[in-house]
Amino acid sequence: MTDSQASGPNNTNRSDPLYVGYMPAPDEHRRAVKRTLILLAAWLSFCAFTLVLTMPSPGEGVWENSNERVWEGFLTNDPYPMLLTPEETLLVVSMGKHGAHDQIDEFANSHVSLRGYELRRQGRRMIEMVPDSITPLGEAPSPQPTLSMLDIEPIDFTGEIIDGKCYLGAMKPGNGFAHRACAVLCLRGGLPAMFAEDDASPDEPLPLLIVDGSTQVPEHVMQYIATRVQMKARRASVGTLPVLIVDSSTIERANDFFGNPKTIVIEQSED
Amino acid sequence: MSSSYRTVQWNAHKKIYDLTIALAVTGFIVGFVILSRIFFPSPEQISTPILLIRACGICAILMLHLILIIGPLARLTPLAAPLLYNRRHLGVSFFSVALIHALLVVGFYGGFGVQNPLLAVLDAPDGSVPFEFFGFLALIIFGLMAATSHDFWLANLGHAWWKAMHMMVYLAYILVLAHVLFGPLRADSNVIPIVLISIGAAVVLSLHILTGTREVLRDFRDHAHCAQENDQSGWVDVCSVDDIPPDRAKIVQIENHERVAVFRHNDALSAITNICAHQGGPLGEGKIIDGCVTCPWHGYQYKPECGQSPPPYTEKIATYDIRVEGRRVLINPSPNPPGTHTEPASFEPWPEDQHD
Ligand code: HEM
Ligand code: FES
Repeated sequence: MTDSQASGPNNTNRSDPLYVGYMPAPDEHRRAVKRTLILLAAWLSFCAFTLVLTMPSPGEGVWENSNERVWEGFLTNDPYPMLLTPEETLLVVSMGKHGAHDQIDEFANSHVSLRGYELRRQGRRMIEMVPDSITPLGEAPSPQPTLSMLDIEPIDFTGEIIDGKCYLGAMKPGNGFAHRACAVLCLRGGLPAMFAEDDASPDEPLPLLIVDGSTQVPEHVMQYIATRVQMKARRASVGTLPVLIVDSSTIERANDFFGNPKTIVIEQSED
Repeated sequence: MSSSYRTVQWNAHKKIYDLTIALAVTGFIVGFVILSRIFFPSPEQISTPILLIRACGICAILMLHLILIIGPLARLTPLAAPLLYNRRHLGVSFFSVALIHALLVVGFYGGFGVQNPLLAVLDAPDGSVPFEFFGFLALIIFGLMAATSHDFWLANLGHAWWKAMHMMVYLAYILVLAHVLFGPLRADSNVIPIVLISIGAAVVLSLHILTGTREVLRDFRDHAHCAQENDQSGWVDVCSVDDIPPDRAKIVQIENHERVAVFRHNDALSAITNICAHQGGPLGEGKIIDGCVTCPWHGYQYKPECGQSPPPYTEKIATYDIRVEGRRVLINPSPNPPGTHTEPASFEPWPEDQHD
């Protein structure tokens, strides 16, 4: 700046505009602003386009949250809040990020009707129950579900531990690291954990997770939520629901953005 | 430190500036949502709150880059002055967009659960990278800056404090980069968002390095050419009258003193401090308009002969005694108290310099 100013008496007659905000802008500045705005608009559009196009698909989960329906079946709290109908086993959850254990307790192991909204994805259906909507339907034969093991020895799985409700359609996407805080909150609230395996086909039903013998994910496993993990688990089922029985000491982080798999040794409690 | 400040003056340019920001922000967010609806039709629809979280986050980071680029750009070319003029409003708008992003995250990711929503978002499980916390820290810094952006705070905190606080924008920028790279981009298999953010960071960094180097070189050169005090009289020979174009200034550096702006107006010279009383703008890069030195940053004005703002304004800056010997300009390097009248030093113009 000083250089050009100091170039002596020769530049006396050059046009020498100064932009002052409260005065009419010189033509040079007007033109520069126009060009900048065009450039900026182009850059914003480019960013919007590319960033929308590069978002991964959130999957085909559905949450029919404006279509209240009535279900009938055998209600149980063991191992999960579930409604057993002659055709299938439906998970039951509460509104918000809460499991339905407490609401169901009073009516557990009886024949009921209840109202709610359906969530579904990959052949897995879930009922988001309307509060206080359970009506007992009297005695009926009790098809008490049992956990039946398919594997004797654990086998390797790679994928992501997810909270069932978001992943089935309450949040789209309901997985991935960006969603971590929500997933952890859901699992702390008692929503069922599931496992989304890498390369699982869209019609393969999502398995539920039982970690260290509990349907509630232990706090020390929360660090693995929303990241890719490897683990050893045994397959089982309850009603029509596939289940993975996993020992938390086998869970380790799989490859991600930051490189190599990392093994974190977790002290195991003997019981 | 001065205890007076002028209230924000509204004018056409500020209104256009603000309108442009509002249109660009809403255009971007609405456009982002519409494009997502087009490219992800049902049943692969992305939840609206999540779309808004993303649109606001991305809009905010784009605005942050623009804010960081405008500073060095304005030092490279005076044509960027209109962008600099109302940059504070851009800053406050940026903060609002980032705040909406954060509130939506706290509401939707942190809400409806068994924990306090803010804690649920900030309390990452042990062993997991707390990327939301990086965003939170950055937001606090931006909030402090937005809250103190008004000239009231500049006047009451003093220049050094205000400036130091506003330099924290660079710390906050690094936190935002960490927030995004360790968070949403962490497991992203797509490299394009990472490429875009690298381009942004590279532009910000290179512009700062470029202007920084230029300024270091200028300081170095100024130091080499630094006018020396004359032992006997104390007056310093700073330049020739022919170095100064009409109604403009030459900025001179005198050893162990602040920079001085020597203005030429009506075939006479006046010397004032180079530092504007408003935000420290470089007065010597300004111009004389309507008989007043006009600051290139926000247009504060001072009479060259006394360093006082024309009524009703009351700002005052330091003046320097000046005289011309032959065609050499001499300055007494001890500043007069702000607002002191000094006699302009007149000189014979070259014939081609004559005003009409
Ligand atoms: C309390 C403060 C903040 C919190 C809790 C927060 C949280 C989050 C979360 C959870 C995401 C992932 C969203 C998703 O994709 O689902 C995200 C993304 C993002 N955030 Fe923030 N953030 C905060 C502040 C900021 C600030 C100050 C900026 C500044 C520019 C920012 C910029 C971004 C960007 C650019 C993204 C990527 C958008 C995307 O997800 O595609 N955030 N933030
Ligand atoms: S710094 Fe704002 S007008 Fe000079």
